[in-house]
Amino acid sequence: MSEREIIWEELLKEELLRLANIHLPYSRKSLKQLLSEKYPHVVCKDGTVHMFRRKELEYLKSLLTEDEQEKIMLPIIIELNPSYGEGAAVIKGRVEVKVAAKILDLDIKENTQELIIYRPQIVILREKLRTVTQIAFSLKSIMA
Amino acid sequence: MSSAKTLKVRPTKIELIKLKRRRILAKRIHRILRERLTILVAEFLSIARGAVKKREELYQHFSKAYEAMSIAYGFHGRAFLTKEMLGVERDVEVVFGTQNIMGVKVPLLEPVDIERKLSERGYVLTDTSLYIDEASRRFEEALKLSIELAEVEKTLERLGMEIRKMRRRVNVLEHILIPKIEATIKYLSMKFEEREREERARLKRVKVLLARRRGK
Repeated sequence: MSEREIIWEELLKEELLRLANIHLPYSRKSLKQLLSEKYPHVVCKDGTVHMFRRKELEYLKSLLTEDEQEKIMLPIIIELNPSYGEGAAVIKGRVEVKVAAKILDLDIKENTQELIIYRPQIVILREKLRTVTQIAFSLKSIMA
Repeated sequence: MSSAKTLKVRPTKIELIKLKRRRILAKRIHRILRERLTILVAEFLSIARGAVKKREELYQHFSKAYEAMSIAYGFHGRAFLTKEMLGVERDVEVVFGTQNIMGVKVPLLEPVDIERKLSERGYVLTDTSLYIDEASRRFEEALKLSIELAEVEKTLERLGMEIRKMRRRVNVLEHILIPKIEATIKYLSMKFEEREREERARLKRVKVLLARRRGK
């Protein structure tokens, strides 16, 4: 293989690694913790700071009980998962699912741990909660 | 096969295996990039819709604010208003942060207490009229909207740049790299099949020659 092609190969590998959810935070924070911060933010894996809009945090607070405010971890991860079909995504976590279902006006059972949503619903969710949600690729979509 | 359509590789089995691996990697990246592009475009469109609404709203606010201002000028006179306005200058506090949309760093601007109470505006309430209050309120709203629109428009610009970059990468993979790799794999496979056929023909020839010798 020529030197140029080796460079190409390296670039491709690098691109794959770079794309693999580098925009996600190192660690998530609870709503309660974020509300107590002056500038609510998390640090992403690419070193950037992702700030939350206080208005959105207040809106979430209005939807949840005191206990749930401690349990919900932000940003809410919308995980694109090709195993559920093209454009389908999953939201995991009881409180996260409850919030998403309330915003999307969906009927769900109590204590549902997983919610599958589709592209138009992702758009609605992102429009309403742009800073408190993040879209991620699942490992399956990367390695499939 | 022209060299422009294939990669320059030595025709060995090892190269063929490496190329097959590269094809899998390239296809994987192509799929992820395409998915990312779709999401970015969806984000761009939804933000653009909001931006159009915000801009229209801002025009309306400014037109109403200037209308209120001209009424106030008419009522109090330029000299009086200029004197009143001298004392009400203030700094505007805006929290500047960043948000990360699918790896694109975009600004987040949050104005702090732009809309003030009547008593906080700084002019003497007993000397002024409702027209000044109305003009102030409208300008405060317009200022808040301007900051919001600035954030949205910068976000659109950054997303647009990233979409353009991403589209170019997707196209390179889709129209150049993957077809090149596939053409090279096809070329190498055909070359190996041809070599095999040649070998088989040679063996047959040797067999015939040996049989002829034994016959003598």
